[in-house]
Amino acid sequence: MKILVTVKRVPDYNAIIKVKGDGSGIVTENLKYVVNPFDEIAVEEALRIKATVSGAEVVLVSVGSKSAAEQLRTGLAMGADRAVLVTSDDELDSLGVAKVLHKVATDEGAGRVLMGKLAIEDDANQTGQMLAALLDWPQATFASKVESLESDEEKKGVPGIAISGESAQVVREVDGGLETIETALPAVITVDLRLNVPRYASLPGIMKARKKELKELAAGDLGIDLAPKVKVTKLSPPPERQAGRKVESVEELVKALHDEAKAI
Amino acid sequence: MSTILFLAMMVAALAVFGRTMYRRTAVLLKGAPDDRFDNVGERIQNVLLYAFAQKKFIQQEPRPGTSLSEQTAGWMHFFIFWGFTILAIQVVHMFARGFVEDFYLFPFTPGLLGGPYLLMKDFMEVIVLGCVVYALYRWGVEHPKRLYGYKPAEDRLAGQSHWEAYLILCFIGSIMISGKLYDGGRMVFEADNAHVQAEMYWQPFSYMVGVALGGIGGAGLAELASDAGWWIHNAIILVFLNLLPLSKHFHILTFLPNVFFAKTKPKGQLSKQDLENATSFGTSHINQFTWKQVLDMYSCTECGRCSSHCPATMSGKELAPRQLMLNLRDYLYENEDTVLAAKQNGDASAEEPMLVGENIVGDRLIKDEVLWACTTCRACEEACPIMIEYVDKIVDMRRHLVQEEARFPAELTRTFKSMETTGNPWGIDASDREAWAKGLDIPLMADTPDAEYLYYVGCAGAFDDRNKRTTQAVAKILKAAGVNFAILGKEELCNGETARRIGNEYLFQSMAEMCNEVIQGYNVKKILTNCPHCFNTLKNEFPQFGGDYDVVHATEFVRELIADGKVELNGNGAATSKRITYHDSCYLGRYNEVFDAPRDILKSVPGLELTEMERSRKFGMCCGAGGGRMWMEEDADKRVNFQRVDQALETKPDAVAVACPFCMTMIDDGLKSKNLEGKVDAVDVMEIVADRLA
Repeated sequence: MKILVTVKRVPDYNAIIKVKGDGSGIVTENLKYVVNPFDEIAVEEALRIKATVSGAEVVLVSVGSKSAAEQLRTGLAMGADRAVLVTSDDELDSLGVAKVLHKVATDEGAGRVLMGKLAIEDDANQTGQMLAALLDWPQATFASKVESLESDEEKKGVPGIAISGESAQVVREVDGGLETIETALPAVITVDLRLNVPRYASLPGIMKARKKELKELAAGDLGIDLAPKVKVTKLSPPPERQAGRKVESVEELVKALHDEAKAI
Repeated sequence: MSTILFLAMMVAALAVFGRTMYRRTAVLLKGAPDDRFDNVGERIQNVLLYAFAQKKFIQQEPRPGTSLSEQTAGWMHFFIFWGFTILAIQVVHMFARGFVEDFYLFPFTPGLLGGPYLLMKDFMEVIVLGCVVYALYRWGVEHPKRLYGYKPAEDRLAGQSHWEAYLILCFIGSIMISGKLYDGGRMVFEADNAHVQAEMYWQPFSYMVGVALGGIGGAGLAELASDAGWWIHNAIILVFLNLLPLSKHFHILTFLPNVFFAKTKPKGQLSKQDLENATSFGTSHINQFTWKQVLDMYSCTECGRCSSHCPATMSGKELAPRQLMLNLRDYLYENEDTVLAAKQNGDASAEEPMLVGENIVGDRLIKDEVLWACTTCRACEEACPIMIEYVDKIVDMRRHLVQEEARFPAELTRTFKSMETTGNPWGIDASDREAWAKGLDIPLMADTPDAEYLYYVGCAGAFDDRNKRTTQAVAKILKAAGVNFAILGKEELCNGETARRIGNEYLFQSMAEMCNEVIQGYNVKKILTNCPHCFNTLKNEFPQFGGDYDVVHATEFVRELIADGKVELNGNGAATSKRITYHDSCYLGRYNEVFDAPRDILKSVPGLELTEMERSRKFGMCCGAGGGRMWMEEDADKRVNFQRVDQALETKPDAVAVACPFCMTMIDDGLKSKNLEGKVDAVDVMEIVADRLA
């Protein structure tokens, strides 16, 4: 069984993002990049599933700049077996990425695809669903679990996605609660934040990752139409927050909320 | 006949002793390498000071008169030690006299040093006897926890029988008494022996024993008592000798080498791991310890001074340095055969060093919680009379946990990842690093590369809101005094101290290298910092990365400024005529021996009264944030900072002064939790100065 897991290179979630003056993009100078936290959870889940199935292989895939190799190495250090990097100098839209992933999943003969439900940079939450459609596989989105992240199951590294035979049980995070669904496999499963706590790579893991296979492909050579259907026209930063002010009394607060903020 | 019997006894005892010692030595030599043959001069000085002068037993710290003072017990040990040392010559005499009548070891022969020697010995035997009585009183009546074990961390020790202590004390007492019987008896039944006659005048106590024996039973009893004394004395010595390497009294043989080989490098420098060529990244098996670490295990006397000063032990956590050492020692002894059979580390024939026994880190022997409880405050090492090292062992085992098993308190993942991406453990974007300086017109290294001092702010001083005020205070003082300084601003990087203490040597090394690169990008010779953790790492650990700077802590620097008249203080600060107690930072005080600078500054402030806590200076108690504990959760009922704040409040202060951002956070938090905000506040020494600039 081959599990394909996406690893997207995104700006560090701690970074203060600045938008370029002309709104054409963000300032990338001195910007640090990390593995998309949702994808990191997907990698962790894949590794946990691998530990329960003999002969399973975890293959990472990233679509983006050559620098994404850094994030793939991070995933390899966590314990994934090998990685595929599809490089593209042009900005791809969600469908473009889904098409690349479709090609890679088909060529690899992947049996499951695990991926973050979204990437924290654009919050699109589309690629997983599109990929499922392209593959014509069932999809289970927003995978979570009933047990808390402080539970013993979590500490023991029990997978949250229960796979038995050719079906998987997925607990989904939905508005106001959790929903358990069963899906036939192969399937595309996208994961949410409360599925697991990703492991920290051990030093032997980091050392081994340096020698693991990382295959590079050029998106342009795959023979797919990657012309974007969606184009980002302009980015603008949120308005700067004004400093708060202290009020002397409750009356003053109510007055300010009513007259100035018009909140009450 | 008796000569043959004695010879047989001696040979048998020495043979058994020799075998035990051979095995112990062989195990020691199997330890991992560690160069402890440098700085011979300092080592000899240590031996004179700590081994022979017994400095740590009889020193004035913790202050005599306080409940922590161990001086009485210290003097007891001093006299037993010197009693035994002096008695050694008489032991040679008494053994040799089994074969050669009237043997004297040159130059302790009658007419030479013999007389004065016997006088000294005579008094010492009586003093030691008195000490034994006092020791028995301590064990039997006084029952100090330090001897019996602190619960819960030392449950295992506390649950053990302490017969060995009593047995050894009885042995020591018997050796003294039998020696007296031997000497005293001789003075009666060998009264015509010229040597014995000479001895009478030099040994008043033995003479009294002789007179008593003669009075009770005449020459017959005296001879019997003297002979019995001789046999008992020598037999006990032989049994004692064999008991040494099997018991905590092994220290009688190992303390000298242990003190000699004690760490002479800066106390705050941890070993630099060669991560590229290492086959393992930490200590997880008993035979991975260095030979010196094995010697430490051999040398532990179970005295418990370490545990009595350990903030983890005191706050009810699972770590007690003594129990840790004993657990390792006992496990090593249990596995002695396997260690001896294993191929030596570094053997050409051994592809990878063989690991003996089980993984000791985890449930088997040293629990994770034990290792994580350590604040690396080094109070244990300061307390240990024979300079056993604990912190290095704990960090070595943490290195295994973090680097090989990636097993550590969950909250540390965020700390590590923040350090990796944002370059600081707070996880705040680097662009915020100079936010504290906004509007203060602080020069940047990039603009003034020839600045005399680099003011290295450190992450706490740059990102933590409370500590930013301290940083601003330092800058205000420097500007007022006209110091030619600059900061790195956004360029500054964390030096990785936290990661190293937690055991993430890999992360530390990459951070230290990057940080050093930034500093070396400028012509920096002198670094000024207010964070003792940064201070220690920049000063003592950066030389491992080619960074040799003259590093000075803000308290030392500002003390100079005050002494030189560059900074003048008035009594008009916001906190006039205050009673202040100063809390020592471990990494400033114990690690780098800066005790007086902050106190001198406080004393120089008009109208300010400085009071001392019971645990201060060398034995100041940690705030609880060292060793990466700053970033780990702590059970509410076991908080080190709560205890420390209670100790501070005993001095009835108006404020608690600190000189470390981590201490600031912990003490501030402790005081606030007692709803003392506005009544008793934590304040940095620099804030006090900045507040009162004339």
